[in-house]
Amino acid sequence: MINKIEKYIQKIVELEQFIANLFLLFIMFIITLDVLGRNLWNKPITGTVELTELGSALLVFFALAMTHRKDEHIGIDFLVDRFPLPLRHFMIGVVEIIIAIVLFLMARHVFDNGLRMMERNATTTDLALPMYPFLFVVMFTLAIFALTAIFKAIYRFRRAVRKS
Amino acid sequence: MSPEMIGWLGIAALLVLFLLRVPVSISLIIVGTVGLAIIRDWESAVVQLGTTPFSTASSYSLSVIPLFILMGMFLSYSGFGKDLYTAVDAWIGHIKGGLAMTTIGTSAMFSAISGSVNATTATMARIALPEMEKYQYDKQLSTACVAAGGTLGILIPPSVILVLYGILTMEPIGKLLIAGLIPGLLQMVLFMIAIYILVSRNPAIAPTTNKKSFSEKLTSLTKIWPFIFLFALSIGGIYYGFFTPTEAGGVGAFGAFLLTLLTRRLTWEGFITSLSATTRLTAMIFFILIGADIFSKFLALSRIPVAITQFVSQLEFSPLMITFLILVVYFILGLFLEGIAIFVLTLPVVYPLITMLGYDGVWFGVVMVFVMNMGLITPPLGISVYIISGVAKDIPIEKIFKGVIPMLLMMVVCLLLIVIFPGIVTFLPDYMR
Amino acid sequence: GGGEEDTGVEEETSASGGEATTEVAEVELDFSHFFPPTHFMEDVIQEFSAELNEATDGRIQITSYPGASLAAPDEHFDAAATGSVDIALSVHGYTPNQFPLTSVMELPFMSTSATEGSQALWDLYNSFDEFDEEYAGTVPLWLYTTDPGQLYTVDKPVKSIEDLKGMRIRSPSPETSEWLEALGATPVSMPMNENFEALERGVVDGTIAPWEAVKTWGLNEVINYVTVGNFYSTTMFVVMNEDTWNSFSEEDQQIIQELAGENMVKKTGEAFDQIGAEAAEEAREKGIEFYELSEEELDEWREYIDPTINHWIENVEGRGLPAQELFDQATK
Ligand code: NA
Ligand code: NA
Repeated sequence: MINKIEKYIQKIVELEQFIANLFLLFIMFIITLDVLGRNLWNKPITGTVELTELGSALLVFFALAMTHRKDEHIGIDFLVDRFPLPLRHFMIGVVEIIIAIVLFLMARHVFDNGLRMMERNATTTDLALPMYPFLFVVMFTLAIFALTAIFKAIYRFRRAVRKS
Repeated sequence: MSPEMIGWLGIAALLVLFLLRVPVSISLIIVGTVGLAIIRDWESAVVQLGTTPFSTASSYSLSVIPLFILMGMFLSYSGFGKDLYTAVDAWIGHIKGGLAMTTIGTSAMFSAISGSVNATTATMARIALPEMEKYQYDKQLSTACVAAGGTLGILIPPSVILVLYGILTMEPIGKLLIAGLIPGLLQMVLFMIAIYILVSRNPAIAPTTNKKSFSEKLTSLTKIWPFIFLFALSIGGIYYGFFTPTEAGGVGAFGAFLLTLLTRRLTWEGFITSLSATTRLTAMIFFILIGADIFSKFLALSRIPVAITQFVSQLEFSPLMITFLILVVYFILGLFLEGIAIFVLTLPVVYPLITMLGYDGVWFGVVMVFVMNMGLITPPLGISVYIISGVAKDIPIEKIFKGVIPMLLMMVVCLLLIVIFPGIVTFLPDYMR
Repeated sequence: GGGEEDTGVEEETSASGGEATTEVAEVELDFSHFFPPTHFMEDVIQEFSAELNEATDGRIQITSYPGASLAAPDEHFDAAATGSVDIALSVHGYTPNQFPLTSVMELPFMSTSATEGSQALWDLYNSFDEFDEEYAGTVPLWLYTTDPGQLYTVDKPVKSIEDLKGMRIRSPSPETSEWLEALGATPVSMPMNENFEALERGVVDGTIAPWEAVKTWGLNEVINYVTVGNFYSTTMFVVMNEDTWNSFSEEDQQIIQELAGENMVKKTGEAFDQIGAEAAEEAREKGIEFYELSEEELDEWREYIDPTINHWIENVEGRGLPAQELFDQATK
């Protein structure tokens, strides 16, 4: 059961990485086209600034979970590396739980922020795109990040027990 | 408990979380949120938790970072980075620490395109670190070079930080930007001297190669045209007003993309790896910046930065002594705070004081940049080192911090030179008039 | 020049701040804004804080947090509405479409000065109940506009519509972009902090901004020509969290209302006009060339600009708001 859910989450994380890459390509192309349009034909692309902002923010959130899965969020190993292996696994497991709690809390309040934006009709400047859907998407990516942390915690706890 | 006390406890808690291997970003978020909750209330703290992530990640000045990183990835995965270092090796591989010096020089060139330290550091980390590793350079040395070189990003124009300083203090921005150039070049030379000294003392950290024949040298040159093309495109584009320094990231990445496409140097796999590695590195950096933002809101409310700068400013010492003390305070703040936050929180107290003591405001802007740069490479919050650590995964972060110390000393030397001979900074902007 | 003046002010405020804290305040309010700490608005806020502190016998103490150190510029309204700060000052335009009625004052030709524009905005706010929804969760302490935005260019003066054709102009709002395009110019969106280098290198040929912003962002170093036409106004709010407001006694509420409101609307407007006038004077001394569009010339421009105003009215009416009535009263 847990394994099945984990597989499912992993697929989502991989898909998220793919989407993040698309957003990266998107901001690269739109800036270039805007620069060309402005200089060659006096026709810049309306909304380039806000699309770049949105694209860059979204690529970050979509890549968060994969970054965590690959252990690429910087931490300082200095002290933990000196502990015996089972204890190390246990401690990292606890840290993973802390990460998950922080991220669930963040996801929840990003969602609230999205609700407020929906109520207030918050939009982008030039294209007047509504903001709230982006926040709901961000909430989703944070939740996946949190789930990734939980599965890493489970893995660590298993290792901790197995070794001792 | 006074807000200041809560602030100091927060800093202590941050150190504890770091040591317990809680990721830097998460530690900052936890301490910032809990601290805000204690000083104000839980409600407003969680509002920050819900608003800051998206708001920080979607700021336009940061959106350039992934594009610069992508440019670096394309250049690196397509082998253009290798060609550059082969050429450099052919010409100066027999000189002590030649490749390390080249890294500094290339960083200086990237600094002329990018206005931010993060972008310069991330780009150069990706290009330079694997190459220096191939030539068996010591990792502590190579990472230190990238960290040091990256700091040139806000000294050599364009510079987002000097523009910000100009806006905060109403000093002339044009002069500020020019003022960073000579200190930037001086700093570059000092870094190279540091490398030379380090390598002289321990040649094993930077193996030299045999002198190459003249024809080898010439052939190596034919391969570095992609770099020349990209620099010409970016610098030319900025100085002729085709695009802004922020847009240069996008155009530069696109240029690198075209190059790899036309020369067929990048495999499909390499292309995907470039994209994925870029987005993940960006995610890591941005999440730390999000944490730093929440944390600095907490420190702002604790009023620590204002309190210590105010304390120093009321001391009855000579101007030089006060300046010196201010720099020490900035060094301490730089350990924990992100640069822009330091600016905003302390300038209202420090800037009027400095100008009242008779110092030049433009000069002080450059001094501030040095102070900020030091903060980027000192623990516990040293964003440049974190970025490098995100690329160089097989060297412990504390070793990178350790390796950076000689470079930090050179920054102190450069800063002292500037304090003693302010003309180094003011000469060019004054000449402009 | 300006640097020395700032020094004096800073000394005074920090000294008086030190004394005020000796008396323990009952309520401490965090006032957040995005202006640089050295900006004159920080002084205006300090003055307001001191007056309020005195009028309430030290019961209410305001601490100002400049430079957006507590919230990003576009987060300010939300920060006040949710109570993550007590008082927030920011630009309505940073959160577009959230203040449909207020945005009437951003339209072209609405005022000739900050004093006039601020008063007009405050009067509108007080005579239309529909504003309440825009400011839900907060109590506006005062609203104001900057001095009107003019057109600044670097290489070439703009004296006619013909001159403007093909020029790349940094635009402050989608409405401005619309009429710039109608006039044959190329509107460019970019953050204000990039404007300086963009003008210097020629990424854009000009910009539309109030004089105050020209000074604040150092643009007077790079511009050479100005075309005066009162094309745009930036509007700003100072709002207090509603719960914070309700926590005050009626007596204190009245004191706040008297010190804020009309009083601060006038003071802030005057402050912007004064700085605007100084900036314009400095520009004149520097040899920046002024061109004031005559009424006849403006009529020509209006042909291209009026459709934007009509779009705005239609758009806001479409949201069920009395845009036409509001506009008519504002331009009366
Ligand atoms: Na630079
Ligand atoms: Na630091």
